[in-house]
Amino acid sequence: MYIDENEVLRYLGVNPKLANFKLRAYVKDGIEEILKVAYPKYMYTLLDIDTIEEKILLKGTNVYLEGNSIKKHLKDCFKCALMGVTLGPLVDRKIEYYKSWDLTRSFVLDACGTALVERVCDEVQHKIQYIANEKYKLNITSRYSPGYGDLPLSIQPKLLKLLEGDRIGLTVTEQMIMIPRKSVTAIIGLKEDLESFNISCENCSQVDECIYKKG
Amino acid sequence: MGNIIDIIGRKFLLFDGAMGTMLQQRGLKPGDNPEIFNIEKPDIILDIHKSYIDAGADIITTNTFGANELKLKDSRYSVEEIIKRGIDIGRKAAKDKFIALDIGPTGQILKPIGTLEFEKAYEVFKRQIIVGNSMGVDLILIETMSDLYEMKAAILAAKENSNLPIFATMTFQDNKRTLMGTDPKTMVFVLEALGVDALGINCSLGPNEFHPIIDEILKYASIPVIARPNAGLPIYKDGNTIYNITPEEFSKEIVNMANRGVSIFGGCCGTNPNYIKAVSHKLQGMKPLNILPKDYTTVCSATNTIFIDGSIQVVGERINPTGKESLKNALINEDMNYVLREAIEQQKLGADILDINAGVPEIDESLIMEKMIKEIQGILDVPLQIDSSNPETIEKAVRIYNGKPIINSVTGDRATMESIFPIAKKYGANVIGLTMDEKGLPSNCEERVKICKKILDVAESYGIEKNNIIIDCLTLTASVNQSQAFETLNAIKQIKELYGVKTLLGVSNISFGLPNRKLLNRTFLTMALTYGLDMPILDPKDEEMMDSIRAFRVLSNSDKKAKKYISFYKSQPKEKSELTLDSLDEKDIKTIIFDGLKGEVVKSTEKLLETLEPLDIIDCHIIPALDEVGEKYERGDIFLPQLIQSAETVKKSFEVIKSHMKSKGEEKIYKGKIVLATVKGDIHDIGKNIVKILLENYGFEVIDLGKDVPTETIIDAILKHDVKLVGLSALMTTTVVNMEKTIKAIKDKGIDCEIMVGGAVLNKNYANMINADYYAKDAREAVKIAEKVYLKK
Repeated sequence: MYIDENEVLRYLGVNPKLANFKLRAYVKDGIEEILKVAYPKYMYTLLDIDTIEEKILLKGTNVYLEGNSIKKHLKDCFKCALMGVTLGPLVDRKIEYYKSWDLTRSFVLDACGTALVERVCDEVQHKIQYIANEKYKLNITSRYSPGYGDLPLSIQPKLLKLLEGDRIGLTVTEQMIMIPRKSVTAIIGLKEDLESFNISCENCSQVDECIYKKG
Repeated sequence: MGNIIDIIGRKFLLFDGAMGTMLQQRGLKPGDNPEIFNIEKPDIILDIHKSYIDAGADIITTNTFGANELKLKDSRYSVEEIIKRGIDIGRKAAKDKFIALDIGPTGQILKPIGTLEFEKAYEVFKRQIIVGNSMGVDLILIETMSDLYEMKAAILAAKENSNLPIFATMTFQDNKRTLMGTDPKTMVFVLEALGVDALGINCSLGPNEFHPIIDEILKYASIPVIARPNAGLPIYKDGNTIYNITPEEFSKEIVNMANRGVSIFGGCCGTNPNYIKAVSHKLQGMKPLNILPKDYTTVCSATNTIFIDGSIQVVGERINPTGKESLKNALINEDMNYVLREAIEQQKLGADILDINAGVPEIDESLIMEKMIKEIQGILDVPLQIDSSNPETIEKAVRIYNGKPIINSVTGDRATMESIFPIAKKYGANVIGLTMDEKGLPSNCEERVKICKKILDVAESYGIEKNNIIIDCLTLTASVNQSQAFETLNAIKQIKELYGVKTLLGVSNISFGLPNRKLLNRTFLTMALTYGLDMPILDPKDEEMMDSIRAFRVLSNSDKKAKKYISFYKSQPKEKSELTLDSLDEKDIKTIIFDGLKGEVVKSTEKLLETLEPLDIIDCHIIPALDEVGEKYERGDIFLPQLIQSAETVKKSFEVIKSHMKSKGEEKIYKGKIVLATVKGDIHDIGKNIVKILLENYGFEVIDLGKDVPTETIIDAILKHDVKLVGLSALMTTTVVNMEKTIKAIKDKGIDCEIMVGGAVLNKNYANMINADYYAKDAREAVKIAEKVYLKK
């Protein structure tokens, strides 16, 4: 397990170039503390897809993906991978532990958790990419999660059921909040060309307002 | 086969194997509830059950693992329909064999990490159990739990709605803890205390990985142990889960566990009738080992067991409002952060167990007691001692407590025992017995011993073993009853020798009315420890007392090789929570606030108070520094972590000023009161917490209602505290809906209170749309809004 210090700084809204030694030392300390309690787990599954009446059907299941944005994301895809990642409830508990008496630390640990869960997602994405390349001779799109664009959050319970999120302790509340908090679900398309594989911030519709944008 | 209770532990019992894995092979679509097959494809279920019976299973688990109202929310069938059919099919297959009502987790995570209330989880399980009970199953199997708290809800539901035997198994990770952090021994002590009939582990791991966990369970368990492993450690390949242990290997490992004391087996994920057949075959002709009863005295949180084993366990006494004005006020205002800080500090200073008391007339004792317990157990692993004289409060508290607590206390008066012991038995709590009775305080050692005997006898008649009773021999004041000190000490010694029970004592009463109380307290503590005291109740902030305890642990040979003593006194732990490193130079308060030096600000503020008026310090030193920090932040010279650290430093300084003013009889004047809450359904509260601290810095009093707060609670608080401004936060589009509802409810009631909102998905337009009066894009903006609102008023 590894957490990139600069990523943590980015989630804290800190320009890494302007972060002084003391702030960096503090972040390093937070990273160590999160690594002690994090227990990353993941699940993924590959499914064939089909477009039926403007909606994308995950074949072999009763689940449809709705909205224009996911359709665009999965354009020309034959298959897609669903993935779920969580760091486990003890990360939440640690962040909560500090809230009443050391808010700064709680805030920094929260950012460390975010950086770690994204990192684990990258690793799972690599595994999926490897399978796509080796087994299907395909490439992959970037990760796309419920709540992006017009892909509704309400799809979350269905995705988690398909992923058997229970097995890694990944759940979602009625308000569609994933618990443990440091969790991600995402959809990755498998397709032949690579052109649309572009995850830079410039391609995002939120680029102007986003405080977390890279570079 | 008769009653299963007569068989367990005497004969091996074999559960069936996996159901879900087999259903997927027979057409269950991924993502669908396996339980709907009870209605739509009953033949398949019957077939699978039968194949397990043919393989030699003694117990069929009904296909009802996920048949709860939360998981079946979008299903065509009700919980009742699915469970009834499941049991019908099970009975048909099992014939004269046993059937177990299978109950798995709710699929939701309980508060405070999740949003499911403990009592709601109880209701969910209750509904399942009522059906199972009415259909006549042989036992209830609660399995695959990772949360001890959820397990407790299910056990209580089973006990209160049936008389069926309860088998309870949890699921562990390869770090030998459950997902929520429970270790095997804590599971054993808590589940046995709750009165289950057999306990153990299932799922997640294969039989090889089961061994170390099973060994630990067997070391502590007094009841039959269950092992239902997967067909190996799950291996993840190309998005599929594979289990790769053969039935032969599987059954070999099961025999291995049988030889060490496990008597109930079965298979979990990846197993099939071949595995069960192999096990059944191998167990032929073998007999289970006897499980010997153990008599440890233990106190548990959900993730931590404290053994009362002679190595001296300190009970922290600070969470008791009697005579403590600031705690009392915090409880009246339901300020749980104050309570949490007290709890955290005591644990850091070496308390092993915390006593919790909410007994002041001004508050609803039961309500506050429950609230404190939920908050503390949500973040700390220190076990709790529930301190109340009200049986109703005690019952509510032990019910929602997550673990095995101590009840403080009963006396030798039969009436108190009769009201408390049934509660202690039902919820599996330890009980402190005070050696006094209806006749009053004891006058000598013999009376104490006699009352102790009476308490142990009555406890036994309620089925409470003496290892769950802790005796308090009572400290009387030496200035009044000088000869009593040794009566107390001798009683400790005699009681331990005669009955082998553990003892507890609050020592500080000894010195009442005499000068240099600390000296008497510490001396009496050392004497009591020498006479065999196990658990002193004291204030862990009293360094000298804690010193004596650490020294005693060395000299009584319980701190082996003085390891803990040496590590403690060699290097006193440094506070590492500062963003910046403290230097030795004396700094002015402005620099201290800039640098966020929480450790230094207390001294610095105290120094300023020697020469300046409190309000001058605030207006001329603190507020200008705070403004400058804010400007620096806005310019991008410093960042949010530094801003928060500075704000926390200012808060510390204010605490010093506040207590100074109070001691002089002046009350700090607040600019106004503000209620803050993260709305119902939402648990993202970091932003709200930053707003809170900044508002406090600028002189507002904040009533913080926390997260996931229902509309009614918010409205009640607005009215109760008569505030003119309420701040609501929500992070998700799905919870802004609840924010809108809350705003509507406030406006519909015509309450004269303005509303500001904030949160990641909001902006000015959105805030307008949901009818908020103000939108705060960040914490500094919230302060400006607050100042504007209270300037108007």
